[in-house]
Amino acid sequence: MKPFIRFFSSFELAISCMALGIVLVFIGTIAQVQLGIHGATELYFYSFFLFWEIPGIGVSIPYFPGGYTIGFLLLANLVTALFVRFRYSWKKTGVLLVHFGVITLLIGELISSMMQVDSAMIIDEGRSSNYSEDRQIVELAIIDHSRSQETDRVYAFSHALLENKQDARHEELPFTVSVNRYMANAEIRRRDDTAPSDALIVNKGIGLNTYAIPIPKTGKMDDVNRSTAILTVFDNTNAEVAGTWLASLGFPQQTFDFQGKEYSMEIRRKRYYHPFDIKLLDFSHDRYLGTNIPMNFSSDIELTHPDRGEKREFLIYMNHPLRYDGLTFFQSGFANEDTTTILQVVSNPGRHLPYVSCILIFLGLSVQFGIGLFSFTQKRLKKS
Amino acid sequence: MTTFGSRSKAAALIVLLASGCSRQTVKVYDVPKEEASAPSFAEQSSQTNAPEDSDWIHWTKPEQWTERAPTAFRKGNYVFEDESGGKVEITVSSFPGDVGGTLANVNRWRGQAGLSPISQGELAAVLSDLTIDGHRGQIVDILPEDEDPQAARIVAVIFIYRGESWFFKMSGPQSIVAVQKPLFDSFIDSLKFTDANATNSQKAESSESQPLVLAFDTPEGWIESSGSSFRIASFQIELEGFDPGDFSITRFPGDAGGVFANVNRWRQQIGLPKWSESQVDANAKPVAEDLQFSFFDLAPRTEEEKEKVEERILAAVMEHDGQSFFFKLRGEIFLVETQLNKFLQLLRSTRFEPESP
Repeated sequence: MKPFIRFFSSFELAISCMALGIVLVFIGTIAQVQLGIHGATELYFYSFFLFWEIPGIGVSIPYFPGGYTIGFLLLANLVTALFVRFRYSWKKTGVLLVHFGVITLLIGELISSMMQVDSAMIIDEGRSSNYSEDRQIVELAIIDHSRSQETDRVYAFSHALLENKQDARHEELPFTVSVNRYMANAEIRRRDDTAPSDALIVNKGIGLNTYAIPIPKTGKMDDVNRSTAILTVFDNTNAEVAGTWLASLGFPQQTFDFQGKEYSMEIRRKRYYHPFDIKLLDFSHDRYLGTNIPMNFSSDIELTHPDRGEKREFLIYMNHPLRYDGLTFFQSGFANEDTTTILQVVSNPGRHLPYVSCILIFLGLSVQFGIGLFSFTQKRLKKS
Repeated sequence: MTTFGSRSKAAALIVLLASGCSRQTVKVYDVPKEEASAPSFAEQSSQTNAPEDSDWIHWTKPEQWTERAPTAFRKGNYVFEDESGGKVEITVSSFPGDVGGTLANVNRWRGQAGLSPISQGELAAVLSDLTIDGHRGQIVDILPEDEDPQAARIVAVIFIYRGESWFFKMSGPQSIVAVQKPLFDSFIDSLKFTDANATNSQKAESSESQPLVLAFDTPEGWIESSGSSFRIASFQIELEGFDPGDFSITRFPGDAGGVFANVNRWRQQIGLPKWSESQVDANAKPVAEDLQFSFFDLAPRTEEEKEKVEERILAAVMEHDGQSFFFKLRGEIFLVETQLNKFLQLLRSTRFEPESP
C-alpha cells in the first residue's frame, strides 16, 4: 500500500501531470484548426487516452493520456498529498488554500464536461418558444397528428437508437421504424443515375428526388453534421413494409398515412422543453453610423412562467446574458434579416466552481505572500 | 418531456460514470400543433410517391380464395377461410428497390412467425430458386418450430422485376397453410410478366396518373441487361474485341438538375472538361420531330482529349409531363461509333402510347 500512496502523493507525479497537461493543451489547440473547437475538445480533453489507428490493421492503440486521465491523476495527487505529505501549520495556510482552489477547479471542469448542456433557442419576432435545441445531438421524432385538433403527440427516439441501428418502436405506435443505414454526417444530392445502390431502397418522400452520401464528421463550430438515415416503416401486425424514407437533419417533416392516421417523421436537433415561454418582442442589430460594422445585438424578450405566475421583460445583449432557472441565455446570433434571434442556452451545474476556485487561489497566494512578508519583516526587525 | 434538472443530471452523471455508454430511450409528450410554413422544395418533393400501380405482373386468383379490397401497400389481397373459421392471408405487394435485401425480408417474416432471425450464411439454405414465365425468383417456406396446428407458417415468393421487389406471401396457421400450399403454387405458376409476349418493342412505365407509357423499338443486337433499379430500360451492346457498351433510360421528376449540369457530369465521367452553358446550347441537336430531344455526342475532339479519353457517350434528354428522361449510351469510342445510327433510330422510334392490356 505504501508504494501506491507514495506514487500518488509524489511531486514527480504532480510535475509529470502538469508537463503532460502543457503538451496536451498545445497539441489540442493546434488540432482545433482541423477539428474545430468541439471536435478537439472531445478528442483531446474529454477523453481518457488519445488513440492512434495502426494503418492497414484497423487496431487503435493509446499513445498519450487524454484530459480525463491527466485530470484524475492530478486530482488524486493533490488529495493524497493533503493527507500524506502536507504538514499542517498556520504558516502553510496559503498553500492549503491554493491546493483547495486547484482541486475545486478540477472538480468544476469534470462536472462541466459531463453535465453541461449547450442548446439554442431560435425565436422569430412576435413569436414565443418553450424549447431549445441541442447543438450536437439529434433525435428521431415520430409525430402523431391525429390525437386531437390542438396537439400532436411526439415520440422522440434518442440519438443512440440511430447510431446503433435499433428499431424505433413504442406500444402506442402501430408500426416500427427500422434504421437501414445511419450517417453521422452526409451530403445531400439531387438523385440521378449515379446514385449509389443503397440509396435506391428509398421509395417514399424526399428521398425520391435526393440521396445522401456519407462524409466525415465535423467538429467545427460553423459546420453542421447533417445526420441522415434511411428508415423503413413496418406494420407491427403483419410486418409488411409501408415504405422507406430518407430522413436528414434540415429536411422538413415527412408525412405519411398509416391505418387512416396521419404521422410524420423527421431527424431534428434534440429538444429540451422548459416550463416557461420566451417571447421575442424586438430584436435590434445596431451598427456604427455609416458602416455595416455591428455595434450591438440585443433581444428584448418577455418571459412567462405559468406555474410561478411570472411575466417579466428582459433585455439580453452581448456580455449581458439572462440567468434564469439554472440556465444562462446568451445572445448568440440572428437570422432572417434581423427578425429572428438565436439565444444560446447553457445549463452547467458546475458554472460557479471556477469562480470559487479563483477566489481560493487568490486568497491562498495573498495569504502565503502576506505570511512570507510578515516573516521577512520580523527577521529584518530582529536583525536591526 | 426533456427538461433541464439538476437531479436528473446528477443521475445521468452516475449512470455515465457507471456504464460509460448511452442507452436507447424514447420520450413521449404532447405539443401544440405547429403552424405550417411555406412549402419548400423538399416539402413539395415529399408529396411525390413512387409509382405503385404499374401492374407489370398479372396473376389468376384461385376460386377458393376470397378477394379483399387492395390497401395502400397491397396490390393483391386475398383470404381463405376453412369450415372451422381458420384463416390464411395471401397478399401481393411491390416496392421500388430491394426493401432492405432478401435477408432483411426473410427475417422480417421469421419475426412475424415468432422465429429468431437467421444470418446471411444461413439464408441460402432456406431459399429455393424458381422460374416462372421466364423470370427467376426465390421462394422461402418458414415453418414453425413446434407442431401446434395453430403455429404460424409463412410461404413467400420474391421477384425482383424492373427494379421493384414483388412479394407474394401466404401466412396463417400451419395446418391450413399446408392444405392451401398446392393452390398457392398454382397461383404462383399463373404469374404473367408483362414483357413475356413482347418481341421487338419494349415498353416502360410512365407515372401513375399518366395512362401513356414510354415505348421504343429496340435496335437489333442489343441485349437486355439487369441494370440498376432506377433504369426504365437497360441494354448491353457487345462487339468483339471491346468491352460491352451500356445503354440506359432513366427517368426523374423535374429537371433532375438541368441539362447543363447533367451534360457536364457525363463529360466528367469519361474525363472530358466541362462545357460552358453556351457550349452546351451550341452542341445540343434536335433529333425527333414529335418529342423534344436534346441530343449530345460527347466525344474527345482536341488532340489532347483524344490522347487521354478512351470513352464516348451519346446522350439525349427529353422532358415530358414534368419528368426528365435520359437516354445514354456509353462505351469505347469505336463501339459507340458503330452504334450511333441505332441510337438515333431508337430516339426517333420513341413515343408515348396507351398501355396495351
